[in-house]
Amino acid sequence: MSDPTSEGVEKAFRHIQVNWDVARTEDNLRLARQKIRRGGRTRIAVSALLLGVGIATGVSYRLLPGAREAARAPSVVEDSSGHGLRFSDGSSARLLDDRSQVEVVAVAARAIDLRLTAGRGEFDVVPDPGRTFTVLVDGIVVRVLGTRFRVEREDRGAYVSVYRGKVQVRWPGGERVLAEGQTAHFPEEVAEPQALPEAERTSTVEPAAPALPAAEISRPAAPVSRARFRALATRGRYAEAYRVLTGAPGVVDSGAEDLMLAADAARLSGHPAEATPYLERIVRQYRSDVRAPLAAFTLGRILLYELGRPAEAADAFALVRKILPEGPLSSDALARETEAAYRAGQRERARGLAEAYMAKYPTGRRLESVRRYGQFE
Amino acid sequence: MAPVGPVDFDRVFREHAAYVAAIGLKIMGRDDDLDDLVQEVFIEAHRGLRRLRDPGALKSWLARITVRRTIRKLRRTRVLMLFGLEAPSDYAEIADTSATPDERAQMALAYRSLERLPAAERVVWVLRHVEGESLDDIAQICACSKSTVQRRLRLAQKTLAQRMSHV
Repeated sequence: MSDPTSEGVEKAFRHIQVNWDVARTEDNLRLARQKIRRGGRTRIAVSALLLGVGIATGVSYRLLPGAREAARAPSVVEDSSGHGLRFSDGSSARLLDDRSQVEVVAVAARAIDLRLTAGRGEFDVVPDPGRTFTVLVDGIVVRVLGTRFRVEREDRGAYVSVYRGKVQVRWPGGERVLAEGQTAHFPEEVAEPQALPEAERTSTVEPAAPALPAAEISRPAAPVSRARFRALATRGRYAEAYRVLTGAPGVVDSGAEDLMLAADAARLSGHPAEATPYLERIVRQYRSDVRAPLAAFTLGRILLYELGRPAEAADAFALVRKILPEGPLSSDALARETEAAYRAGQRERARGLAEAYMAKYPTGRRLESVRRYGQFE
Repeated sequence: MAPVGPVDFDRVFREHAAYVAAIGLKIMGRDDDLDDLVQEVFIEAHRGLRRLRDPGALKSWLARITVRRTIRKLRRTRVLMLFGLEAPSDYAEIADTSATPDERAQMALAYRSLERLPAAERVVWVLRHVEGESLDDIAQICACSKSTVQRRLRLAQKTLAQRMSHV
């Protein structure tokens, strides 16, 4: 392959897929507007009405039977285990226990809509810009912008975990995009700042948040602070949530969910080192919790990419597979463990891991990097 | 022609976001910075929309902003990678599901080779060979002369040929 403009290369470039759809446009438009407003460079207020009409129009369009092209509709079959569905486009839905149930609302050219009527399901979606993939839980709509996520029904809503890519969650009264490594309960309870105690008010107006103590978190906090922290963190306002956290570390109780929220608030507000104690606690104390693999995976990513501690990162990724050997994060964890081992100078380990990956996931999405870090190229 | 007023920002965004995203993705070869890029392009565009006299020039104007912003991102990424602060990308991830393993490998190899080029040469090469733009259009988008485009293309081609011949 000596000519970079050869037919083969040009043909390969024709396969570039831009996963850019109406939902992503609307998300980015909203974010761009927010940034413009914050920059104080516009006199024009955002027209919520236009956005609402846009969303409503999109939803109506999707619901119109005539808008769907039956000819391109994928087929769906129950998988061999009887615990899930497989679609002809490669997407799948897997139920996580016997009591879980999912029903097909629509399988059409432009949309696959499922309803989780009980329990928990994991959804692995092959991106298709021309087709949406949506999971409904009562009034909550989880729409796929990426590829792999889990939805669990709760008494009053749903718990969503994103392993890869992004999902958009809408519920009566709000919407939010969850990115890789994030989890949240829906509908989100909004607890806007009310009459905060004077001490906390002072702590929240400091321009820069100090580093969190790595010590265990046990100091009790006022209920209003806890509610505020949770509301801010679950709504993605991580910088504010982190300031509340640093002002009153007791806002985080010892449960896995709160620890995950604290880790999110720390790392997504630019304090990755401060996120690691929370993730380590989840892995240590809640190994059987569904969040444990995700916590270990996130820990590995922080250690590898943000803190430059590849040897520890490799161990964290190894833990993901140890906790849940056949889980949705296993293949990614193995690939990243390979990379981390290589970066830590553990070449033999990297090579062995790469061999394991190639044998187990011969068409895996990280095959190329695994081959590179396993020194097969 | 009437200038594009600020009230049209949403329309401009909705009509051209996918175009901006496509250019950005093809040049960068990765999706993870794409949302930021699109937002940055339109935030910059928002400041100048009122001054735009010819609505027909909107698309190429957005392309120019996109290229400028993308070059900044590429340079930043290169520095971060130099210090080990940015993970190498799996370029094959942007291929659609119909790509064969060979095609995915070729795409990834080409992008890894493009990493070696100066950002300005990389942009010109991608616009020409991936986006299929004419030399005149590339000159306009990159705000340089046609001869500069040709020179950059020659340099890019030479480097890529050397790089890829070793594989």
